[in-house]
Order: sequence, then structure tokens, then C-alpha cells
Amino acid sequence: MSPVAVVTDSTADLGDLATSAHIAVVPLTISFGNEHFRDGIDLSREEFYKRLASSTHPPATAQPAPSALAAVYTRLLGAGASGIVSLHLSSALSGTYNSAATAAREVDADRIVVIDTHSASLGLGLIALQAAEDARLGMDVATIARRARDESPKVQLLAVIPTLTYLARGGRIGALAGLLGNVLRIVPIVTLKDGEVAEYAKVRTFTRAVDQMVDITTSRIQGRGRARVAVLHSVAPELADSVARRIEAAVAPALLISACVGPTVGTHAGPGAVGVAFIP
Amino acid sequence: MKDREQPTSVAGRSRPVAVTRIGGKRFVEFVIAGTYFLRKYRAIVNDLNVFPVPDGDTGTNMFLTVRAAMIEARRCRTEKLSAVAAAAAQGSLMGARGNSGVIISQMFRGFAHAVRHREAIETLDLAIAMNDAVQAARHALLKPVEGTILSVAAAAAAAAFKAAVQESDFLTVLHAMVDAANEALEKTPEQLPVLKEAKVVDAGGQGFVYFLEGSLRMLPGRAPYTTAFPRRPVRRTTFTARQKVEQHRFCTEFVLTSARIPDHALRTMLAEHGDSLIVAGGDGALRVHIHTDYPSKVMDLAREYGDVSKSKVDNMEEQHNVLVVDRESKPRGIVCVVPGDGFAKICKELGADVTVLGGATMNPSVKDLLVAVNKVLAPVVYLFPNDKNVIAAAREVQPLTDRRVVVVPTRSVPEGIAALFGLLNQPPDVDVEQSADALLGDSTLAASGSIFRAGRDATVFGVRVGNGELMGALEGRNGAGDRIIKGVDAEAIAAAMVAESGARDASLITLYYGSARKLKEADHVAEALRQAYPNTAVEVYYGGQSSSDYVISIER
Repeated sequence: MSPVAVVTDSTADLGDLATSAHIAVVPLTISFGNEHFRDGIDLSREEFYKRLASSTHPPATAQPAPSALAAVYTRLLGAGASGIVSLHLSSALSGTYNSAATAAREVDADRIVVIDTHSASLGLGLIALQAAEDARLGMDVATIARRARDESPKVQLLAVIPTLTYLARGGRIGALAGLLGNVLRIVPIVTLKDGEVAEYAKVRTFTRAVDQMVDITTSRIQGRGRARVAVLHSVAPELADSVARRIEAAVAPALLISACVGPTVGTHAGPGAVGVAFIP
Repeated sequence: MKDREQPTSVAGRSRPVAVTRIGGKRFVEFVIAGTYFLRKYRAIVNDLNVFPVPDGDTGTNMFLTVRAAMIEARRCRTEKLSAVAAAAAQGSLMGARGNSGVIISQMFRGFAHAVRHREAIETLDLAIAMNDAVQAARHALLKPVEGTILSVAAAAAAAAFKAAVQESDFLTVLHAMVDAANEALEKTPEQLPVLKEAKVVDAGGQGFVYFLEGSLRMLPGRAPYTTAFPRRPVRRTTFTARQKVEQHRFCTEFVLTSARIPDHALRTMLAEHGDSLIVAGGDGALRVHIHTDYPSKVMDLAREYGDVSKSKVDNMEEQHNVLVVDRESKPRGIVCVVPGDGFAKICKELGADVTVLGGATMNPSVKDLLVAVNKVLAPVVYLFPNDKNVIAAAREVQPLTDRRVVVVPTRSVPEGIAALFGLLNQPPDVDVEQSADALLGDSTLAASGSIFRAGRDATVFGVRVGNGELMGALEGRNGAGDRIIKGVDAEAIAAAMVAESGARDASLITLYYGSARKLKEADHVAEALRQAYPNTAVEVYYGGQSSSDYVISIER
């Protein structure tokens, strides 16, 4: 029996990792004013952050059309996949999940399972990688889907954002608004809560916030050699490397990847941010 | 009514003169007294404000309205009541603000109309005029609502009638009016569910009672001051979602002068453009109050029939939100003692609701701390003494207040600021009993200290210092290792203090400069520290303390 195919969207921020894991990636559309790009295809990460910093208005992201997803599903099934598990960004943040569900109904509702992971960026990426690994081991659609749904609530996401400017501009600042224009240069450690950016802790200085984020991460991971960890950054590869090395030394995760995040997170975090997505 | 129980303030005293006639001068005095009484208690009225829109400005609006009446009435230097009452009515109409303000102005107008031919009045005339006043107010409203200032004023007017039939002394009549008004006020929550839900009496009604109470105090035999009255109504709940601003967002008010349209016609015309509509006044000047989504459209409509002036548009949603944000279910509050205004600002940003100026040479009293704690609208108050000499006073506060006081025994401001971060990052449902100790235990603070000039020759911790000599006092955690450090200048002392603190893994040094130092000087010291500790972040902030040049905080 031919294996199950795994599909995700470009917000999983997997980049080349998706290719090597045989995960099909459907791009979202990013618009700077009247210019439209397919995320990760027409617009590199570096180019995205360059434009983000120079444009006065935040870019808009648009979910892929159901037809684009349907085309991918049709192609994969045509190529001999026995079924498809399609994993997507939190439906609280984007309509991508809805597009995928619509496409799945059109193409083959029996063989395609669409899952709202309630996560974002490499949190979604970690779940997709797990699903791809399961598929490689020959599990069926139902098993892979069940395992992915079990994993979703375990994903934890933390990030340190050097400036609140981008959060404020994108209207996602919410509870962090009080930190704008503070006398003490307070840096928040943020997390994703019910699909919204939420403050996890307030810390003074960026360096100390990153230290604390690493401490929280390693303290939440019980046992060496089991966790799956993704370090995410917005064009701050050296910082991400140092965070990854410290996590490696402390808990030696089973999987440790690092990637530059795309527009879904990057629009609000701005350049220079670093974060961790992990399944303890 | 001869056997009527006298108010306690006059019991046992013979009344000097019974007032049986009120002319222009006395009327002005009434208005002045009522205005000042309302001014005194307007914040209480603001607090009660939940209807029709919980925007917390009823007291202020009513006060400004009666003040406008007072100013105009005062200007008339005449004994003729008719002239003074007319001036007050005109003043209140032009100065009316808010729903209840306009209603009050209509009462003045009705009153003035009733006494338009009178030089002075007796008690029965007052009763008649009061009834006319209430009728005028009712008439100005499209949909009069019971359980508001209207019901309270109506009760007072009815009581005036009852009393005046037999009584010629204004003191007795006014007293009966105040009693009846208070009684009606207590009933307002039964009449208006939104009040009951918020556990308050009607704000406009309360404002009216205060005004009347104040007026009463002008009469001979009444003590002008009292400690027993008024009782302070306490708002026990915050605004609920049901009390949200309804569909119309803008409270719009203006005066239409040279009006070529009668009040009822304008009322009918504007009714469809909003609610809480009041059109008041006459003789060519109409005051309009309406809650609408289209303030400019409403004014344009009115402009066809006269000149629009004194317009004022408030976004009620914003006013409401400000209040709601302020008062939303807050489980805990924070009071910080600070040695300077810079520290006060920093602590407020870190969540302190109230700061008390104190510090080395000016320790706050238990009473200062108690007042600060009672200002906080939360059942649990964390108190940060931030000075080792204030901790004892802080511990005295608990038995004196109904709030639960958690003293976090911080010995210095740096310790307090570090602990504030701990509190900020604590989940709100944490066990109060344990949290105070945990805040200190988990603190990131390694050491703190200050740099100051010695006030006299002395030997401190075995170190001799001369009068006026610059020195540093370093405190380890938990009071361990207090040391005096000397050096040639602030730069050298600061660097030595960090070295002496033994905090080799320090990640952050913060320098707070005092009111006698300048940012530039502080930057010099910070630069010296950066050179000595290149891997440590050094930040400079204004502390504003007068007791030292610098406060230093060393954190892990």
C-alpha cells in the first residue's frame, strides 16, 4: 500500500525541511500594498523582513484559495497516495483551515483529513514533521491524524520580541499595550494563548529575557533525549544558534531544528526576535 | 407638624430666628450652599453613575450646571426673587451639562416661572414652585424614567406641599423635603433594575439630595458643617456587560439660540436620531442633549432653526471604557513607598496603584500607609515598604483596614522593584499567604546600595568617614554583608560596590540618580561600570531621591 501524503501550509516555516521530509507545502499570499507574493516562493525570508522594516503599513496575509489546496490534493492522490493528512495554522489566526476543509470535501472527503493544529509557525511545523515521519513508517490516515491531534495541545511556544512596534502596528498588541513607552525598558516573553499573542513574563533587557526563555524551556522538558524542539528567529541566526546550543546542552532533544519564521509570526514580531516551539 | 422630631444638630438649642420669607438674597445663598455641597460630594455622585450611561460624570455635570446657575444668580444684586431666579435659570440653561444637568436646569426654569411675579415667597409658594419645577423637568424629557432624579425631586416637592400647609418656617419644610428625597432615593434601585444590579442608588437623585442638603444648611439653626451626614454610598460592584453603552456612541449637547422652532417641535424632529433626548428651555434659547451616532447631522438639523453654540460631543464608549478598565475585577492592588518621583513613576508602571513618598529621612507614618492602602480598589493589597525603617510601620496597617494587607518586607527600592517584577509574573490566583516570602526568595536582586555624602564625621561598620565625604553603602541580600565603601569619586565607588557585591554573574546593573544629580553625571558613572563589566547591561534611570546621589541595583 502506498504511503499517506502530508500537506501543510507555508506558515509552518519548515522551508527546506519540508522538502526533505516529503511534506507538500501550500503557500499563503502576502501583500505589501498592491504587490502580492506567494509566501516562501516569490518572496524570500530576507526580502520579507527588508520590506517589513521599510513599509509603513503592515503586510496582509491571505489564506490560499480552496482551489489551490484542491489542486495539491488531486495531484498527490493522482500520484498514488493512499490518503492525505493536511495540517494547518490555528483557525483563530487564519482562514487557511477553512480553505483546506472546503477543498477536502470537494476532492475526496473519505481519504483526506484536515486538522486545525491550533498552533502556528514551527509549532505547526513540529506536528507536520511528526506526521511525515509516521507516514514514512507506513501508518494509515486515521492513525496519523489521531496522533497529530494528540500532539497539538502539547505544543508550547515562547518568544522574545525586541520591539513592540510591530505588534502594535498589526493591532495584535492587546494586553502588552501597557508596555509601550515605558520608562524601564521592559521586554516581554510572549506566548500563544487561544491563538492570540499573550504575555508570559516581563523581564528587563532582551538578553535576560532570552536567558529566561531558555530556562523556562529546559525546565519544562523532562528527561533528556525525548523532546522535540524548534528554535525560531526572525533574521537573527546567530542568536538562534546560541539558544539551540544551550537547549542541546541542557536537555539533548530528540529533534532540534532551527528556522527563520515567515510572515504570520514575523509581521507581528518584527526582525530580531527569537523563540522556541517545543513538544516536551 | 409641631411635634415633628427636630434634626439632631439643633436639638436642645433654641432657634434664633424662624425664616418665613425668602427673597432674592436668601435664594442666592441657597444656591451657593447647594452648589458647594454638591461640589464637595460630586466624586461620590460620579461613582454612582450607571444610568442612563455609565460614564462616571454625573456629579461633575450637575455641579457645573448649578455652578453656572450660582454665578448668574450672584450677579443680580437685587432683593427681587423673580429676577434672581430667572438669572439662575438662564445660567443653568446655558451651563447645563449632561442628562441630569439639563434636568436640573429645567427645574430652575420651572421654579423661575412659578415665582416670576414675586419679590419673595413663603413656604407654600416654595411648595408650588417646586411642583412646577418637577413638571417642567418631566416635560422636557421625551420618556421620563422613574427611579431617577425625577422621582427624587417629585418626592421632595410632594413633601414640601404636605409640610407647607401647616408650617411657615422654611427649616421645617426643607427638612421634610430632604427626608422625603432621601427616602425616594433609597427606592430608586427598586424602580430601575440597572441600579439594583450595580447596588447603587441613582446618581442624579443623589446629586439632587446633596444640593438640597446644602441649601438646608443656609438656614439659621442648622449647623453649616456636619460629620454625621451624608452617609457615603459605596459602589460595591464594577460595571457589568449589561451596563454597556447602548447603540449610540456620542453624547451631544448644544444650545440653539435665536431659535425659530418651539421646543416640542425640535424634540419631535430630533427624536429619531438618538435617545436620551432632552430639549429644554424657551424664549428663543433651547438646550439640546441627545445620545446619537451622528452628532454633526443633529446639529445641522438644528442649525436650520437657529444658531448652534456651546456644542460639546463626548464619545461615551471611550468614557465608559476608561471607567471599566479602571475598575474591572481587580483581585489585588499594590502600594509602594518610594524615595523620589522617578521611582514613583517606575513603580506605577510596574503596577503600583498608589505610591507614598518616603525614604531614609522622611519615613511615612502608619496613617500615611493606611490612607494609601484604602485608596486601592482591591480586596488584597501588597504593600512594599522599600526601606528597612518602614517595614515595622507597614506591619501596623493590617488591623486598621478591611483590606487584606500583604507586607512584602523589602528593605530598599531595588529590592522592591525586583519583587514587583516577581509579582507581575505571578499568576493572579497564587496563594496570598505564601507569595510575600516567595517574592523575596525568588528575587533576581544580588545586591543594592546607594552613594551619598556623609552628614557628619562617624565610624560606620568600622569605616571612618568625614562630614561631606562621598561614600557608598552596600547591602547584600537579606541584610547580610552591609558595607561602607569609599573612593575618589562616584565612578570609583560604584565600580568598587559592584566588585564587593561578589555578583560575578550579574546581568544587569541599574543606576538611579537622585534629584541633586544630572543625567549626564549618571551616564559617566554608568560608562565607568560598562568598561569595568563589559558583559553586564548597565541602565540609567531617574530616581528623584533626595537622600542619595545614586541608588544602585545589581541583578542576576
